[in-house]
Amino acid sequence: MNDNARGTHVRFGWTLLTIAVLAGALLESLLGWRSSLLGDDELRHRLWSLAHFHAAFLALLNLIYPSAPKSTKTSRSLIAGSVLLPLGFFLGGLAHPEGDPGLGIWLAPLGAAFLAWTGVRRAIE
Amino acid sequence: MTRSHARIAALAAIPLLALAWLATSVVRIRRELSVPVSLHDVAYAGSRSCIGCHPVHYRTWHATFHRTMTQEATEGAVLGDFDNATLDYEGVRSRFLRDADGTYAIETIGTDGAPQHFAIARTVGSRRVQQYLTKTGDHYVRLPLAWNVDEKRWFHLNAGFLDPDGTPFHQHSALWDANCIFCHNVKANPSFDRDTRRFDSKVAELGVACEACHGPGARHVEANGSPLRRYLLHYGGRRDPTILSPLELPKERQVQLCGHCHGQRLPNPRTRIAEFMKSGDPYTAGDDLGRYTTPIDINTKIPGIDASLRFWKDGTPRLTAYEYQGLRMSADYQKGSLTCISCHTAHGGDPRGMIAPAMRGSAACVRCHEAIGRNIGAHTRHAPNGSGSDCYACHMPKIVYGLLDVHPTHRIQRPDPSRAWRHEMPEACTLCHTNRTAGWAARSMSSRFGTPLPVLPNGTEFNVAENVRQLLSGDVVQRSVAVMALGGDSSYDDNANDRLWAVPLLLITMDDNYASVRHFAYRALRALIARADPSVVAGALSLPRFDPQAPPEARREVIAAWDAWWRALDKHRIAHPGDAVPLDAAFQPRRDLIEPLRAKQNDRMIAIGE
Repeated sequence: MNDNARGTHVRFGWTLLTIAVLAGALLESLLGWRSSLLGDDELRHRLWSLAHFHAAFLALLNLIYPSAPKSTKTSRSLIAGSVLLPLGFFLGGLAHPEGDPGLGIWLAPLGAAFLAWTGVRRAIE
Repeated sequence: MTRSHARIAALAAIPLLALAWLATSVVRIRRELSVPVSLHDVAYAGSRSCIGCHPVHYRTWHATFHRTMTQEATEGAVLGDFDNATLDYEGVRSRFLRDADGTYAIETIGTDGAPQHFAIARTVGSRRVQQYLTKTGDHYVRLPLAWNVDEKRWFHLNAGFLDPDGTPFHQHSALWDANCIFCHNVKANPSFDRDTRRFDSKVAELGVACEACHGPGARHVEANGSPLRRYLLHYGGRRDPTILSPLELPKERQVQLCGHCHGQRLPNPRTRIAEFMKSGDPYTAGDDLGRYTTPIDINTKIPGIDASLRFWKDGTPRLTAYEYQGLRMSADYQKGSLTCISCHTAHGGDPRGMIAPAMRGSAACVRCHEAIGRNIGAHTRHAPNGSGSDCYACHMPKIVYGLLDVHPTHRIQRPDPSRAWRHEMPEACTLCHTNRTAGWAARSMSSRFGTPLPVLPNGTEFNVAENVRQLLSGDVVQRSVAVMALGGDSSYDDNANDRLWAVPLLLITMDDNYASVRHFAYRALRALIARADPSVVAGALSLPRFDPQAPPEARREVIAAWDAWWRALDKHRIAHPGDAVPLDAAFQPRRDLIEPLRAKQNDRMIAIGE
């Protein structure tokens, strides 16, 4: 992996981690203030928690990713998965019909596919 | 083809195959959605299967008293005091206790008069009254002792079912499997075998649950396991034929859905009762109720029962569980689009009355009657913010008796004071203007609204304030309605102290020969005292509590204590209600006017049929 790609992952990782931490703080605040935005909607609460958790986890993965050897080929799929998976959870909870996430949730399995592809490639490389 | 080409082709095939699967699935599901489903052929799934996809609807229904209409007698379901509480009624001491194994039990006399121990198996109701079922062999029996939820006390059902004193102890011990089962559960089937005379009762779910209104849901649950189908329904604007949405029914079917339980009916034809008992209630949500049953009305003939007494003489129902009949008689339903769910909802309303928040009070009416809402005072000729401008007070007055309460009628009508003498029924004007005669109401209405003055009634009895006249000379439902009006929220008089003039009349009514009327009289008395200035009613709070089902001597002792308090009370801050109320200047009852009216009291037996 060249310095450019390494730099991209590190910048992306820190950016995503910042977003995840801020989103986590926002979630805690909404809970703390018993906001109706979360309190009345269990599914939104669950989906946004998933978005927060996945964003934080994937941010850390991006930060450690450049330290692994031969990581060039899967770099873009990791970034795509890291964007799509938490974004899918977030949009799925933003506006949704009763009992199901909103249409944005379909980005989550797409993101998961990118991450699975990354994992498979890393395993066999 | 090189290796890289092959890899690209393989990679491209995956999304293409996925797209092909998606397209064929969409076509298949859309085809499915266009095929009607006969819900009669579908199994019931139970309300728990709804939670996953409809958590909000489940939660809001779960908060209703529909859910708790029938329950197994578990810790969370039983509301009554079973901690060795006792109730004395008609010389019988009943005891409410828990057995060593925790089972709830009632010790009272059996139908043979001998003491008996009844283990409680199920409960019925949870809002005003909770009744208890015991299992005897193959069937459940409703016991005649019940728990008054609001007042937290035991009472005998003879006080809840308009029965005079002296009614047999077990008059209301009823067979659940042949009666209550049909309306208080989902898809009831008594499975009665005429040869062996045995029941094998089954219900799809105890209480009134999701499938009572939405139809059997097993196919709906199965079909919507597919997320693709769900998203097509969410975003495709299609309706799901595997389930019923009451909102999509035509108005007649909508009201039938509620009328299935809130409109007493008889099998159509009557001989069909055998089918109901053997195979269960054939009605499924969305059906034409008229295929199976006919609503009871004033002209219905039932052997051994005068069903006409369940109605005012103009045909308006005077008992609860006839809301369906009342609504169908209303112009707003007949000529308009009003249905039950215009105001009521099983999802999100106040559980007491299940009225949608946006539909509480007059808001429900002015949504359609917008012009009236813009200038309500011009319509009502009363102060816009007073009880005289409350739509319900005039168009849905409280003239309907239901277990331990008086409810608004669901026959929405214009007020007409002449109904008092034409149909011998309570009328909106004098339910608030309790100190006025029906003639005064007719003249006021005529002068205020410019309507023709009807021929006024003859007879000195109509010189008495109409509400008081019905309180003293009416039948048990008239007396119940009148006494509740004296203590009710709607009144011509904003001054709570002035309303105390009713106290001596309430004390007379507390000696009625119906426990239900006595109960209402004491309730009205407490309501008046609670509203009045404490300095005006000083000493009232220390007076003994009145038990409407206590022995006559005990009751009269309490009434005497209250009477003595009233006589001694300084009444200079209470305005006299006027000449139409038979009270002298010292606020004492004028027996010369009252006794002739009481002699006219009509004690015809009204079979409620619950």
